[in-house]
Amino acid sequence: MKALIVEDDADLRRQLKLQLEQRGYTIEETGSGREALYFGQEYEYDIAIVDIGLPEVSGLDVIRQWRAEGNTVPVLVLTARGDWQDKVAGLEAGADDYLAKPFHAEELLARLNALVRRASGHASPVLKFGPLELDTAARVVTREGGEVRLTSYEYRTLEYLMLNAGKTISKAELTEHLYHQDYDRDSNVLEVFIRRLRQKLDPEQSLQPIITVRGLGYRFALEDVRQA
Amino acid sequence: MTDTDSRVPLSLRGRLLRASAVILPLVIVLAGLALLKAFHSSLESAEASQARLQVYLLLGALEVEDGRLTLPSTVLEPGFNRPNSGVYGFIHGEDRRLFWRSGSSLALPDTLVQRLPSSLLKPGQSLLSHLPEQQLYLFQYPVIWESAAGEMRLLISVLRSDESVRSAMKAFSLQLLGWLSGICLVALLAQYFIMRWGLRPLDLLTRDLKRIEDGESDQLEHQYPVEVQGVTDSLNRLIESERKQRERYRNTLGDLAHSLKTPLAVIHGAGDEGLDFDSYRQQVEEQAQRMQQIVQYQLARAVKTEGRTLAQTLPVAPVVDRLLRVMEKVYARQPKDIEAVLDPEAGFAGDERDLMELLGNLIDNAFKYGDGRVRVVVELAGPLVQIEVSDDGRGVAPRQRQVILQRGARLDTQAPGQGIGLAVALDIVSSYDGALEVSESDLGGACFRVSLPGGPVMPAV
Repeated sequence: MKALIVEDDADLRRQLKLQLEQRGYTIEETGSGREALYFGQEYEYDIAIVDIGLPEVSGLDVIRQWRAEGNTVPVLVLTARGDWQDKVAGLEAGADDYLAKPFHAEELLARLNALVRRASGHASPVLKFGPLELDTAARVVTREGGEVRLTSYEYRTLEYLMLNAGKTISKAELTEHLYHQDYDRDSNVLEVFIRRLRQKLDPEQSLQPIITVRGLGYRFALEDVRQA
Repeated sequence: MTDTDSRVPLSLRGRLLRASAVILPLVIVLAGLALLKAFHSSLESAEASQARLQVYLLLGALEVEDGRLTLPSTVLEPGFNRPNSGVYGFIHGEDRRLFWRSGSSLALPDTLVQRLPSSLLKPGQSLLSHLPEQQLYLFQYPVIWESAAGEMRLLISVLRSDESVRSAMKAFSLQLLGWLSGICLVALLAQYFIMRWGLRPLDLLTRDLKRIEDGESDQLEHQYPVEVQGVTDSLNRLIESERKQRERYRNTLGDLAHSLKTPLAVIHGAGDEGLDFDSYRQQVEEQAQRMQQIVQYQLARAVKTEGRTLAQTLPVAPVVDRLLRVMEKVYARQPKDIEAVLDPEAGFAGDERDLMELLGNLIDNAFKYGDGRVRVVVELAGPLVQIEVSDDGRGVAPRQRQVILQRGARLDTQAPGQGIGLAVALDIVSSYDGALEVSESDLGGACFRVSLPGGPVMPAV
């Protein structure tokens, strides 16, 4: 997942970055609303965390501007005052959820998780596709009840594909959303992950959950149980 | 900041003084010029009537015989006979022929004498003109002389030195300058004193404010003129509400500091207990959470208004609508069945921030603890507005109802994890002398019913 953190307090920003990176997020960060506007125009994120009280361009203005430009990235606002006037202002500006400072890392992660899922149309933290289940909260993948052991990168690749099930995801997009910028972007690496993922999820090759769309990328092809 | 922002505006006194320093002298100079002009033309008309008299004199002495013209010098006034006396006479006939010139005129330059008969005057008209080069006034008067021999056209010219006019003008100008300068000075001084007198209430205001700043006084004590009294009255109100606010902050700060002491003591103690890392961490975490709640609660209290009942009522329905809309967004993961029965006429006689905080907490609880159904009812009941928030959650056990609504229940005695929303809500309700009751809702969960001072909303004009 690729997240943008917009928070002017450097310490809090560093902490957020650390906590989110531990959970496998790829992070872009800024302390300025102006820069946030630019990032919002130039890049695509899976989620954005925006502090309301930014100097110069306020967090509310950033969100309003994004929404006016048609940017639908899920936004979590951080408020320091935490009164309803503030929360309502944030939500009415276009944010999707709020969190009052101070907060627990666990709560933040749960909210982000929920927002990302909601944005992809999944209400429950457990994504079910045929015999496969992915619990976004516990970060556990099971097949017919038995746990499938995945590495962190494999898990993230699968989660991203499942959240975008049915859509063809290009290799570039996968790399962009999953890996830190300093990571080797050699597409062979991605192919290796996908091959291992297929082997682990579907050793007998009876399910074929991940389809290679030649020249375009990959697509998660199982039926969403919730919709079926 | 731009340049214009940083420039200190000119003081009122400076503005008025500068304006009158420019305008007063200007007016006085203009008046002086007008006076000079008027005086000059009165001098010239005196000069003209003098000259006219002399013309009549010449006419009276004139005799024509056989087409010849004689003027006995004895009958003339002495000025005409004395050379360079400053009074000169000429009589021209038709064809610019010079009939006669006075004895005094012999020293006058010929060019001037030749120019004299060029006038185009008709008989009976007269003309006074100034010849600045020669410093002379020229008065000309054409006549038709009738005699037995027939008609004769004559042009009588009298030249008079302008010396007397110039010296009179000079004396007058000097005198005028003196007087006008004096008047200007007196007017400016008067202006200055009037201004000081007029602006004295502002000086007084400055001194009064300084006294407040220095802590010698609580409000602006002096009586001010009507124009200033409005400002001082609102300043007094502002100062008063500021003072109350400060007091509230001070109290809040005191409460805050006191209530933080307990968890701090626990953390201190935990360090000395020799606990293993996990228990230590847990203790610190618990106390941090407790402190966070205390801070949040006191913060909410600090920004809350005094709960003053206002004459103007605020429509409740839009506030509820806004809150329901954002809650739907926040709780979008659970499907909700929301019912809002809102009387659009129902108004709350208080501050919008308070209303939003109160309803935000109650409605948030209903979404949080309910199982999907939320109902908000707003209605008017006489001088009260009643707001009911119900959900279909587990509800509040009868025994618990008293506890959660106990007035003055200290927050720092609550167990960790308990929300402060209700405590804040209760605080707001009691500051408006309202009531908050908990009961069982017909949806199956809790029903919170709030009564607050209210009234019908005035329809927008």
